[in-house]
Amino acid sequence: MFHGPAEISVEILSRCDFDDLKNASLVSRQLRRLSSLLLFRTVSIHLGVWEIEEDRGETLKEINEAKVEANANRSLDILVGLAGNPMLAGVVRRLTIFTFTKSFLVFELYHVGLLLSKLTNLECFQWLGGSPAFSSRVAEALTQYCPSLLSASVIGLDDSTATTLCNLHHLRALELVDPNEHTGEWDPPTDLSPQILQTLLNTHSNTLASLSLPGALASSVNILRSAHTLTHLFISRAGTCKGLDLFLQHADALRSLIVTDCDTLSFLPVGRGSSSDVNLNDASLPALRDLKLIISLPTSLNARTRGRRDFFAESQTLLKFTSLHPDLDRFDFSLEPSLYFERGGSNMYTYDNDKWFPNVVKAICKLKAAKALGFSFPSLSPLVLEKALNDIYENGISWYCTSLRISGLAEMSCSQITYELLPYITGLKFLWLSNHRPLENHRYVVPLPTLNDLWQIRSLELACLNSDVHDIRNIRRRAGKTEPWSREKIRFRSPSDFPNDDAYWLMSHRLITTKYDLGERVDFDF
Amino acid sequence: MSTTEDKTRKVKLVTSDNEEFEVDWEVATRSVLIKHMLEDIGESEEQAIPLPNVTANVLKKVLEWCEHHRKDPEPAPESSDDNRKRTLEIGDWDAKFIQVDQEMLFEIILAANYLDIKALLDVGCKTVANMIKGKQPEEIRKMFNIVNDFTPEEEAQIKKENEWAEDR
Repeated sequence: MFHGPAEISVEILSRCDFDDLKNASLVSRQLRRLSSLLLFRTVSIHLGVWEIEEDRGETLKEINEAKVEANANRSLDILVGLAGNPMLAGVVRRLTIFTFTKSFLVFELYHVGLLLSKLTNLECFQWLGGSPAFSSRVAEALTQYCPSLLSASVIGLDDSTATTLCNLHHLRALELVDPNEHTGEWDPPTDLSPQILQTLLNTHSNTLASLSLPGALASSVNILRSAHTLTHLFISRAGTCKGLDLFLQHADALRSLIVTDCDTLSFLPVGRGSSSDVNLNDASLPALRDLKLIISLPTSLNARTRGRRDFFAESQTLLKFTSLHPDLDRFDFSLEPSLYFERGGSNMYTYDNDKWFPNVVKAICKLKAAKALGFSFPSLSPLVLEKALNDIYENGISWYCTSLRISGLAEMSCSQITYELLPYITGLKFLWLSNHRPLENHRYVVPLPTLNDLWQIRSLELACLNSDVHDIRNIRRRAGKTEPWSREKIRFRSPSDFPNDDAYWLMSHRLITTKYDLGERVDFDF
Repeated sequence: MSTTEDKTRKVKLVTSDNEEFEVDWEVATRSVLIKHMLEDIGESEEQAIPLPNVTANVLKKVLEWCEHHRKDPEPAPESSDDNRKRTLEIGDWDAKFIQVDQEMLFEIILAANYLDIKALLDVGCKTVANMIKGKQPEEIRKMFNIVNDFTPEEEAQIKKENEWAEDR
């Protein structure tokens, strides 16, 4: 069977799972060579261990110390071992280095440089975590040994490293924001000046297809030159989104737009006229398929500086935009606090949610076939909520949606969604439900559905209940309980952890935190 | 785009051992290779298409699959889920169809690859992947008659190196 053409053997091996691949690699030299092509395409190294605010307690200190040591040993093993094995080193296409440590990593960085000199086919390099920040030694090694690198995700870029990266002439993706990051987490300091970033962007302006930037930098540089090549744009902590409207009017190649923590949606190109009076031929962004928008809510701490939101106007903009883009594949709209861990509420109750939220529902209903859908509920009166759920269901969500994220569940919506909506979405593979309501200083928390409830959704593979992620398919297969994802896995989630790209897309650029202000837990009698 | 005329058209295929098969256009064009050849040939119906890499007994089996799947929708373009763990489930009819000896299974996979019939290639490869599933290296060697050409030191080294790989 494996004596024929190598391409057939690779076709077969590509359908094997991880453990079977490892066993196949121990069968013969030929199978070792072929299975290595799949086993070592992506290599990750963890230096240090991720901690978010909530983890920095004494109870986790010991666990973390043990984990740091285990990560350090494994990382050095990989760095030295891969550099010494040209066959394996030649297979690696993507190298990810997570750094979250107070150490300077002098020894490790030397070996990263050495390893890069052996990775002859590296296409994608990621420096995530960003502590220590992306080092000049690594930047120099990248430009020296991997000049044809296609994608660089580097957290903690400064003027010196950015200047070095100007020598990577084939770069098509430049990510300066961690895809798993969200406001409220620790952000690495950056000394990158807009002028140097502008030079870096200008160097790649004809080839750059994917770009992610923090809002402060995004508003200080001009990306118009890449308007015809950029297919993916992500702006985090976007604020007022200065200049974004102009870019979007010309972004005819843009396929995916993600803007988080923005103050307003006024940057969306919606033309003139009302939502019922749209001409699809006039729409800007003709290639757009994915849209994720997160409006940040001023919390009680910073309400005065960031002002109140005009949700009615924003919801009208949103409705008009989806009327112009009914064929979006993925759509996610939510309201999140600009400071996640602040305990104060956002005064959300002072807004007339019954008035503006129906526009958001209408905007969702304009979509004809979105495979991934995400939205967050503010508190609504029962009748408005009932109508919202009915409208979403009747719009045909059951036919096309495979990944769904609903947050901010109110008292009644939880049971209604569990029993009246979810069982009818027949192709649902991924579901995230959150009853955590960061929008309000809420006293009560309603219980989420149990795993038993979710079992009823036959197609479901992965379920996330607040911060607990459960592999439903695994649980079914083993007919028992399995541990939910570890915190580390939640923090370093990657596309392959999800049933499909749509599910990962919903959960990217979003904080999954265990720090919920639980208040007083009450059980409602449904 | 296929026309109604196409659907009633017959296609002649000649195998490496010179056997001629006449099949419906709709059945033959499950193969992307044959479809492209027919487009190149154009309207000259009489011309037979040579398949020098496929023998008659294998083509017979492949055509049996194409006949059963003649009405299937066109396969979707390359899925973005390719790098993910794929399900190894095979439909009931396909599972029964592929219950053949190892030699024939391999021939079907080779033919599906040559003729560019992605769905059949998938069924074949999944069947082999299922045979490997949960097996230890020695069991895999025995099943496919493969000689162990590793030294014990090499085996130990590979086990160590495999620890660097990640499930993704």
